Amino acid sequence: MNRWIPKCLLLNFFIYFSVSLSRIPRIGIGGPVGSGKTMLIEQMVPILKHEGYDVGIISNDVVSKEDAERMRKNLATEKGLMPEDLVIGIATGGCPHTAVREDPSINISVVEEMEIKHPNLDLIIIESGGDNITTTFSPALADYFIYIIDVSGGDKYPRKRGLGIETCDLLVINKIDIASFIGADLGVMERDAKIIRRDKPFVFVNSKTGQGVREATDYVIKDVLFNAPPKSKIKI
Amino acid sequence: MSIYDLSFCTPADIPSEILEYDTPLEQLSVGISGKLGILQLDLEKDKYNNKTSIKNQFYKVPLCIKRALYLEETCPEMAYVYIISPSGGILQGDRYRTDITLKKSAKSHITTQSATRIYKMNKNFGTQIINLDIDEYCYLEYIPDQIIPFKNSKYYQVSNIRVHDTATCIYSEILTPGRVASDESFEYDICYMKVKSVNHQNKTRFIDIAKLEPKKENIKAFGIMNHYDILGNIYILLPKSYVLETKNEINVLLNNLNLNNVVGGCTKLPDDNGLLVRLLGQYVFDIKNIIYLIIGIIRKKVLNISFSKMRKT
Amino acid sequence: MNIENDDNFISIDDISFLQLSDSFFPTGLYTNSNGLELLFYNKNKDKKLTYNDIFDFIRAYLSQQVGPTDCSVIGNVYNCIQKNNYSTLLELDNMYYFMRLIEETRSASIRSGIQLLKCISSFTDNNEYVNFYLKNIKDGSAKGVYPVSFALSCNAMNIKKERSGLMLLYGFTISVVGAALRLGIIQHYDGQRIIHEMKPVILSNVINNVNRSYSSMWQFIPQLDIIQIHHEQMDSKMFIT
Repeated sequence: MNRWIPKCLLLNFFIYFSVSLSRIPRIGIGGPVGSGKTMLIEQMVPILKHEGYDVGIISNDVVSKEDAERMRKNLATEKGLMPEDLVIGIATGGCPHTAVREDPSINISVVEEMEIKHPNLDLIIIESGGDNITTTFSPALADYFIYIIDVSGGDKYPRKRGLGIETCDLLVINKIDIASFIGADLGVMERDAKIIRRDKPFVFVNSKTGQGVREATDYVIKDVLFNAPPKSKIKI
Repeated sequence: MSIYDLSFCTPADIPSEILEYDTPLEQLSVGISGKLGILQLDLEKDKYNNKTSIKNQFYKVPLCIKRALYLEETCPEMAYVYIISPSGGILQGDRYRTDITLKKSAKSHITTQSATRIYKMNKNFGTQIINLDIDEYCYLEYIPDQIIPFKNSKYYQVSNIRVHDTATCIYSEILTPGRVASDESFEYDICYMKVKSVNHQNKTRFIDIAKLEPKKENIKAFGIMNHYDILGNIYILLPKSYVLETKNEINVLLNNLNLNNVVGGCTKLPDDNGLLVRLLGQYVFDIKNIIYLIIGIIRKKVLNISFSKMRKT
Repeated sequence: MNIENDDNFISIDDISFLQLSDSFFPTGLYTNSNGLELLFYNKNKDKKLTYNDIFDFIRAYLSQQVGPTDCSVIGNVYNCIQKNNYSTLLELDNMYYFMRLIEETRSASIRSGIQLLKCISSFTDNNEYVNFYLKNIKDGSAKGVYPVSFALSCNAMNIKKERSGLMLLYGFTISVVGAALRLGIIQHYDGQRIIHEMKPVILSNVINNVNRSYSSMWQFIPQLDIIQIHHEQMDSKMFIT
């Protein structure tokens, strides 16, 4: 929680230099390949939308047009939760970590274009490309960082640490339904996560069934949106 | 003194690469009668018979035209105009200028009667200005035959295309390596071609400036022409609402061409101002055929008519 | 602050020259292959891309496009600054934008250009040209194309015109070499050898183009244009251009 104070200062600093002055809160979602980043987004967006929040998605986890189109089709075309131009895929030149960490300029420019085009969005979700456990998001790009791992790597994570697991604002441990099949002990993971992350939150999730996603989304509403009412519901 | 003098026919801003060749001619000097080709043509739709016809025309040989023909049975009101150059091409010191305007929903297809030969030049250079002005809801296809720059020729061409946001213009260019029959290939000194387009409010739509100096740069290098000989450019300026769909249709066409040694692609011009098609191939007729196929797509899209076979008599 | 020592002197400006030339400088150029990715997948069908192919690829870009347009823009931006000519600065931005005919490369140029400017303005003292350009981008009267942004950034850091041109062409070269390395076309020694062998091409193109007037800018790379257009249409890609 107290990490928010320096981040807000940084935010002001950035607004000062930004061409667009209406910064929309942004969360970054990182995690290894196949950990369930896309699926988590596909589960969170309907909940946020149900609460009235309008969301835009920028996905760096795009190998083919098919990936971005799957999300677009699922969330925009079929469920009608957002306009199709609010799901944007970005190629990262084979450097997914660079694109959200040391040189986030392309992501930032796409976020800013989105802010200008859709100033009434409540939240922008930036999905990083699947990478290793050292991923972090540049604070210039994301205000809040969710790191997602799954139990299939064994219960040695999160004990093994890694920048993502340690520094993220919210740790999501996915695929808890298969833990028993592969001999991963959720109790061990819970204990280690508490030690490594001290007071920072983590949630167990089964993004196939949606179990735990509500809890994760509540963290976003509380810690990123500060329980603010959706822009579309504010009467001027 | 007529206004149709040398300065009228000479492009402003001639690039230094061209001016290097600016030496006086010994016999027919620059600017004298016979070396200034002028063509002015105003096309309008006639309010009585609905046909597009020539309202005004003025020309000075070596440029001239015949009367408008109506050749397309699916679009009988469209005027086909053939530009003729009795000298068969551009000689050293020639300065050509063509001004064509379309008004009142005119529809026209303008072409040349034969290829534009840029003859061998010992001195000086040849230039051509093409000004097209296409008003509200008009439709123009400006599809000249190929340009053939002979050995040691020096040529500068400027095209200014002004197209109203509601109008459509297809402008094409085909550039050959030279007189292939005489085994000439990229033996000219320079060929410099500028195409600029604006809308009715004179806001830029695109700029394309190509310079070829085969004696200084290897035009056949990878990335430039490589093993291809013929270059085709098609600039399509049409209302924004047609841009995306037309682009996709043209790319489907280009990606499914069953032709050996032809490549091409279509991309959106800045601010959705239209489309650019670039083509590379081995033979002029391949490139011409693709241009006609693309004309067919545009006619279908914009005029909702089909395109009958091209007639050249 | 200059430290003079006989004929040699070094200054803060030399370090700025290194800083802006470094691929570490955040402008997102690592996301561009300039069409190389398409060529990689296309060529692999029958024959592998070679060292020479990469060399020719970069050389064609440098001498037929980056030199006679981008580098010429750099020179003209410096001339505008020298003459206090703000309107021509905007005209250059406009002209370059409308000469960038491939959609994918046009938007990449603008994204990198704007981010570069913002980064520079976050740590340089109020530079009036950088501020002027940023303000016009915000108002919609300028686009923010990369070579204009690059020249203004170099100028804000006291880097001379010709050096700025060298940096731009060098930056282009390493971004393509970087893409070739990541695509596995060449190995790391080859990459450095290409850069080394490209030096005379870079130098001659800067010398020939940095003083070219903006009315005589040109470009002619039809085959590379078509490659870029085909890259634009690729279903699956790792690079933005």
